[in-house]
Amino acid sequence: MSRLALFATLALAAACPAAAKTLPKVPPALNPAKAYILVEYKLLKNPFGGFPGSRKTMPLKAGLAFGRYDPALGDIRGMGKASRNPVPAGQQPVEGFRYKPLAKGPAARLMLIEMEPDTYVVQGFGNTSFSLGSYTFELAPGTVTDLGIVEAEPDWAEGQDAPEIGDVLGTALTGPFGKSPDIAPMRATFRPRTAGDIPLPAGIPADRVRPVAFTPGAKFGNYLGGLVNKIEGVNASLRKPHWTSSTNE
Amino acid sequence: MGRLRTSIAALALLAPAAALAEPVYFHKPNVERETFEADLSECVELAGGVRTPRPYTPYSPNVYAAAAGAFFAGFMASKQERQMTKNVLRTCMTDKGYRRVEATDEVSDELKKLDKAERAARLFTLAASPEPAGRVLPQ
Repeated sequence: MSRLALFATLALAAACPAAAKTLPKVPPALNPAKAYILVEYKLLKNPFGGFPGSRKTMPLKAGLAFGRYDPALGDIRGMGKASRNPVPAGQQPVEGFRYKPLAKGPAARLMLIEMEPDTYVVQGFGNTSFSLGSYTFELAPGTVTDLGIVEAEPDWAEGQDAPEIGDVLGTALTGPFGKSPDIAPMRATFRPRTAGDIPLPAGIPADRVRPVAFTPGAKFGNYLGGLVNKIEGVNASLRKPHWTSSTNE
Repeated sequence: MGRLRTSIAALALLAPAAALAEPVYFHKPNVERETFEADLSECVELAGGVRTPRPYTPYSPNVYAAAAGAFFAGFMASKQERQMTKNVLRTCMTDKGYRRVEATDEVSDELKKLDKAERAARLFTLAASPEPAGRVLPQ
């Protein structure tokens, strides 16, 4: 009976699609058939960090999701408009976030992810899908693509803001019939790695590392099941000052 | 295709309005009908992707306690899904240059009396009118 259970478990494991691996340490040699992503997360500020004894940054519970993108059909492979271009059997069209840092900084975490070479899109961050406009990039086999530093934050709409401690207590007291706190989709910004960031870990061959080349404007369906946004933030874009010739004069 | 989009648009605007008891519509002066329907269809499709995790209710041997727990868990999940759907529609339509308008009582009453096709046509005239018929809400 136990042998039967073992065979069933093995068969199930073999049937599951191979997921990307977030590597907790640098491999002795890069797999020439795989592609690698290097990305450093800046930790989010704790909105209640002002309270005595509270941590200043939030733990990294959510992060980037990457989807394998078909630029010609304009969707994630195997889904929606690109349903006739699925990924090969045994592979996954979407790579979610896994917390396995390669290196830690005071308010940053560095991740190294082993993936299938392909065209990818930054599909989302946490509960937000960047369906309204995101960046695509290429992952070439045997190379490490450095996405640089990513910072994410809630993209509050006009007239909304992060809940304060009073709002949280109010919600707890009024229970399920009270007004729910406002919610906001996330937005993300990338910048290249600089001297102040976590340095490139030893063991990664520098000649195999290449900075990412993002192509903006990719749209796709809401497959993460949460909120949607543009990667730069629809609401943040509205708040940006619009300089015109008359204001410059 | 246009007729299909019109029906989807009508349903889209009514569903959140009914669920949230908030007579809100989207307004963009002089928008073309085709553009309005395409924009709204795209946003409705994205909102259709919203999924809330199945609510967890702890086991209780007391059947009344279990029923109460399941009721409140379902109630909260449903409330969360409506809030997320509303947020997706708001973000998506804002991105396309629309403003949310709180419809006046007369407009709300008028819409309730119309059938699906008439309602879609009326919603389009409201959306495309040069001036919004109601209070413009924050973007």
